[in-house]
Amino acid sequence: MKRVMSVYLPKWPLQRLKHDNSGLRDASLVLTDLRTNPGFVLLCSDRAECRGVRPGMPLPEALAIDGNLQVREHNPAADALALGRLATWLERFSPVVAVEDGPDPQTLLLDITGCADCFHGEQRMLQRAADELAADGWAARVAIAGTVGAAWGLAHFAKTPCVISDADTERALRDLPVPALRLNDEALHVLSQLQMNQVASLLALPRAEIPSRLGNHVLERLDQALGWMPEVLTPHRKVPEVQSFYRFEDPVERRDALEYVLKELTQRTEATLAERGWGARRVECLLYHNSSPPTCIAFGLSRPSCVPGQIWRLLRACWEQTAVREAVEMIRLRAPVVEPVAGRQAEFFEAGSAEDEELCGLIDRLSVRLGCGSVMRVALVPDPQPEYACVFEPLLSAADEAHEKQRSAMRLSRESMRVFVHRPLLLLPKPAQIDVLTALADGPPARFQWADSDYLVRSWTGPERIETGWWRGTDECRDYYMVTTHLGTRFWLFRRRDDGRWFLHGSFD
Amino acid sequence: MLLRSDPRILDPQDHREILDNLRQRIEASPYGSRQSGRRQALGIDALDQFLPANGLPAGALVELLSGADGVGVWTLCVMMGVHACGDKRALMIVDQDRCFYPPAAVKLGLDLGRTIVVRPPTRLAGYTAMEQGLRCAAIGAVIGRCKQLSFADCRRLQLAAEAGGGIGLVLRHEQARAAPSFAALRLRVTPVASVLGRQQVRVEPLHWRATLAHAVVLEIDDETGHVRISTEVAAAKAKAR
Repeated sequence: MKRVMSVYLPKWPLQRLKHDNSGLRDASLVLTDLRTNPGFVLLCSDRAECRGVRPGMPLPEALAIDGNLQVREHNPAADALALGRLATWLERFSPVVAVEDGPDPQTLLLDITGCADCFHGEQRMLQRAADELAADGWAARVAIAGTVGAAWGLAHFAKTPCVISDADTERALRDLPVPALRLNDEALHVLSQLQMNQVASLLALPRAEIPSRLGNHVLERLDQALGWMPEVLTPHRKVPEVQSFYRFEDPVERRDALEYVLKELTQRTEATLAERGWGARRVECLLYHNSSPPTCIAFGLSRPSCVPGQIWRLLRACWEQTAVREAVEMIRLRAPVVEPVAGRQAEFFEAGSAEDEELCGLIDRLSVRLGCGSVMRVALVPDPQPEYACVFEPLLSAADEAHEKQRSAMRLSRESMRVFVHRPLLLLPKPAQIDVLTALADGPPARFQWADSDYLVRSWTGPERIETGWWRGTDECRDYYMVTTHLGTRFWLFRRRDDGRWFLHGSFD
Repeated sequence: MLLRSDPRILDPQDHREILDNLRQRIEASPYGSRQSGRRQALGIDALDQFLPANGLPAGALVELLSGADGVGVWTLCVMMGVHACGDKRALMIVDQDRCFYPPAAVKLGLDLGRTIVVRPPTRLAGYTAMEQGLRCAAIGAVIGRCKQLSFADCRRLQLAAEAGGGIGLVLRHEQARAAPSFAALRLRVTPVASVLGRQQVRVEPLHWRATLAHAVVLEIDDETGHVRISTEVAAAKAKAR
C-alpha cells in the first residue's frame, strides 16, 4: 500500500532568500519579477503583509507604505536549485523524493512506502521531519496520506502535521477547498462560478457527468487524490542512462556481423538493467554511418521486464525488417525509459502471475511486428453518437497515465451501459449511404439495397432518435431502425433528418 | 478381439458411449492427438450437447462459415470466446475490417479490461497476430475473420492453438466450405427468417471428427445476448408430435 509524505514550503522563494541571507530573516521583504512584471510586488513576506503590502501592488506604493521594505529580484533558477538541495537532504526519510510539477514548485513529495517502520511509525516520522526542517530554518507544512494528491492537498490546506489513513482519505478530502485537488486556473474559475468551493460538492456530482461539465482534468485530479488513478513520482535525482555501444575499426556492412554485435550489446544492457533492478520500457538502437544519418530502431515494452533475452527477441524482430543503407561505423543501444521492475505502479491486466507476463510478452511482440497502432485496448466513452462511444488506444504507446485515464473512463454507470444493448456488433467505420424504399414519408424502411443485394424488411424496431454532436461542428440528428430482412439477417439503418438520406451503419452479426 | 472382451462396449443400445470409449483410448495412446485431455465447452448448451463429453479438446480450431452479413455469427463467436476465456484469460479479437464494435459485446459478457483488439495492416499480418495469440497461454480465445485461409495457414493456426491451449474461432465465407481445413469443428451458420421477428440462426455442424450431429436452430435474445434453441422451432416440433 502506497504512502506519501508531502512537504509544503509556503513562499519558497522568500524562504530560500532568508535562509541564504541571515540579514533578511527579520526583514520586511518583497520579490519582484523584472522580466515579466517589473515594478510590481510578486511576493511579500508576512512582516510586509502585516504592514499592508500585497502581491500585485505597484512597487512605489509598497515602498511608500513600508519605508524599510527590502526589494529583491525573483530568481526561479536559484529557487529550483535550492529546492533540489533540500530534496536531497530529505532523502534521509525516503529514497524517492520528487519535486512537484509546475513552473514554481514549492512542495516536495516523498514516497515513504515501507519507510515508516524505520522511524517507529508514520506519526513519529512526520514529527521528526517537521522538527528537523524547523531546526534547519525552514517553515514547512507536512502531511502523510495514501495518495500524492491527498498528501499535497492536506499539506496545503489542512491543519498540519497530519497523518491520514487510506480509509479516511475521502473523509479528509471532503472538507478541503477545491484548490486542494491541484486544479488548473480554468477549472478553478468554472468551479468558483458554480459556487462549488469544497471537494465534497464535487464528490456529490454524478461521476459520469464530471468530464463533460468540468473537463477530464477535474476527474483525473479527483481520482488521483482518492487513489483511483495511480500517480507516478519521478525522483528529482537524475540517474545515469542505461546504454552501451560498440565502435567498429572499419565500417561493417555484413548483417550477420552487425547482428552479432547487436546481440552482445543487448546482453550487456540487460545485465545492467538487472543489476539496477530495472526493466526497460523503451529501447532505441542507433546505427551510425559515415555520411548518411543514423538508422534508428526503436520499440516500446508494455511493462518493465528484466526477463533475459526479451529485449533481444524484440530487437531481432525489428532488425529483420530494417534495411541498412550504408556500412555501419558504430552501434549504440540505449534504454531511455526505464522503471523499477518490482515497484511497478500500473499493470495492463490484473491477472498477475506468469500468465500476465506472457500476455505482456505477446503485446510486445505484436506491437513490434505490426506496429504499436495495431494492438489496442478499448475504452467506453459516454457519448451518445455511436461511432464515438468507444475509443481504441494502442496498448504500448499509451503511457501508464493515459491507461489509467482510460480505465476511469471505462467506469460508466449502469444507466450509460444500457444504451449499448441495442447496438450492432459490427459497425461500419463510416456509415454507408443506401437506397431505401419506404411506405410512408418519414416512415420506417420497407426495402433497401446493400452490397449488390436487395433486402425486404420483414420487421423493424425504432426509431431511436439520436441528436448530438453540435459541439463537434456537425449537428447529427438521426433516426435509427433495427431491421430484420426477409432472409432473417439484421441491420442497423438510420435516416438523417436533415436531408432524409438513408445510411446503413452496422449489422447485428 | 479386444472390443468383444469388453461387454460394456458391446452394448448396441449406446453408440455414444462406444464412441466416447474409443476416443479416450485414442487420446491415451502415444500416437493420438498432442492436445491435452482437458475439454473446452463452447458455452452454448444447444451446441455443446452434440459434442462428445460436451466440449472440444482444449487447443482446437472452430470454423464458422456464413454467407451473408447480419447473420449473427459474430455474436456466436464472442459468446464462445468469452466462455473459453473464463475469469483469468484474455480474449483477442483480430479485426481486419475495423468493424468490430465493442460496446455491443459488453452485453455478451465481454470484459473490456481483458480484451485485446488487433487491427492488422494486412491480411497476412492478421494471420500472424492470430497465430501469436493462439500460441500464448494467457489468451483463452482468438476470434478473427479469414477471407483466404490457405491450407498451410490453417495448419499453422491449428498447431498454434494446440501449443497455447486456447480456442481459435475462425470466421470464413461459406464458399470456403469445400476447402480443406484443420478445424476440429466446422459450423455452417445461416439466417432463419422468424415469424416473430426474432434473430434466429441455423447452425449445421459440417465436420466433427467423430460425430455428425443434426442442425439446430438457435435464437439470439436482443436484450441479453443469450442464445438458446429456437422456441418457434421447439413449439412446432411439439405440435407435430
